[in-house]
Amino acid sequence: MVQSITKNNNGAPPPYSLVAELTHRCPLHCPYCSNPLEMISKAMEISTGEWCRVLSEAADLGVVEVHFSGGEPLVRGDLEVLIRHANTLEMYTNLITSGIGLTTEKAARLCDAGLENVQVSFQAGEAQLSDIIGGYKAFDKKWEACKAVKNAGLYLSLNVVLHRMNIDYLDEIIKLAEEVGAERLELANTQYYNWALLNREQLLPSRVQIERAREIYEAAKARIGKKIEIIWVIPDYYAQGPKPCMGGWGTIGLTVAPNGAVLPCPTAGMIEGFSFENVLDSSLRHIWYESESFNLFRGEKWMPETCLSCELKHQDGGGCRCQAFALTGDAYAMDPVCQWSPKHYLIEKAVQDANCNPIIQSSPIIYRRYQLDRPASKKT
Amino acid sequence: MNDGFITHPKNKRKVVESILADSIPRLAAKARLKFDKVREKNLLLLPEKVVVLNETAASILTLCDGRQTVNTITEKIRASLQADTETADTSALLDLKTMKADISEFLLEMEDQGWVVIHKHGSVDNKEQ
Repeated sequence: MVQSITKNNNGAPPPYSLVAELTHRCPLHCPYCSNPLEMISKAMEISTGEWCRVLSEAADLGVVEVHFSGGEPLVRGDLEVLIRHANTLEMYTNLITSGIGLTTEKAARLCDAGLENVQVSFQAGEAQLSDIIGGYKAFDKKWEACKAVKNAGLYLSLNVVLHRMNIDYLDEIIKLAEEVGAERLELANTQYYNWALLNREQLLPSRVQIERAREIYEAAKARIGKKIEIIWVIPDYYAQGPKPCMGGWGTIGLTVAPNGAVLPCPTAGMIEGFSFENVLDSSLRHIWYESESFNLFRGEKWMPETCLSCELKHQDGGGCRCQAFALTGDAYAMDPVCQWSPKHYLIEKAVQDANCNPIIQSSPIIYRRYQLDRPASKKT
Repeated sequence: MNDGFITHPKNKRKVVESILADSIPRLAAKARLKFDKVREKNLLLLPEKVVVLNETAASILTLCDGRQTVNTITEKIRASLQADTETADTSALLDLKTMKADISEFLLEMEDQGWVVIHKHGSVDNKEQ
């Protein structure tokens, strides 16, 4: 069906979803943050009017779902305006938030503006560990935010990124989801890009940890049934093969970064040597269909010989370009998660290290820092 | 953001144990129907998911407004199909009972996915289980 929808120019289908990354500012310091190491400053963020134009152009292009994300999108004062605008364009709106700043009043206002779904992140099932991982005393505020979402009558999803530090406490996380009345719970094993890659040694769980967690997940799914939709995102490094890049590079969705740069996925900005066009210079339609960056990895032409001759290419689309770049320095290389990649030993080594007993970690964990968090000055 | 971004409700033909008849279906609160002018398709919008609907699925779901029974919905669908095929071969149209079974099966599948809530007849309970 994806293939049969309106074809345009390069045979690319229209996009379904937009991740509107409104800001990189965030009160949390999660060491697995998917934001780039070098974040975009507040001064470089595009304006409310520019975001409204992006939303209108996205709707014209065929986008039907918008994920307002960040950083923490609530730190921008214009979220309500943007949600209202997306709603007039008949787009389905999701808010992806740490929960900080989501008061009962705010949730009610956003609901009134047309917000449909709120995804609140938690770092663990209880306060102490959650606050350690997030580097901020956030747990109680998150709990309040969940109550606010429920009071507003909005659909509540929880997202918990799993890693070595919290995966052994999965039962507490599931209990939390039940207590706050979540309708959906995403148990997302860390994907190793940007900050997470920097901290991989500290974050990558052992095989035993993952197996135990999977059992807890399966038991919970059987017990809870349809009351909570529980999603288990398998850890890439322990998977049988590479994951397809967000349903394919420039196929299903696009991301607009806080400065207006248009990316095929939230992490693609990490690929060095490529230039991504900006909504301040070009229309979204032009960027989606005509830009070099979006056409680069569409289809199969770019694939290495091993992928071209492999029947799995239809399933994994040649794997993730960001991962190929992050681990090999070459975005055209085979995804090292693939067992036939000449660089697969990189994954095997990381997995081996994570399964050493006892694990020896050579360096402390590095918390995400927004570039303007200047230790010398309290001003932001 | 997940692998099942686009899925399709399939109409598997198997015997339905119970026809829903007087039950009243409505679209789940999180779901929204939209006719997409760009693709000229009916879509079911959900958190983290877009479902591309065929025309029959879309017409059934549009009638799932929490006010009409499955019987009424089936009669309406049949009437509209009849109007469409008036000049064509009407014998190709399924009989009412088969159609009720098919629509019931479809709705049960939608309920199973969590996209439709079905109020059993006589139930005043607000929540489905």
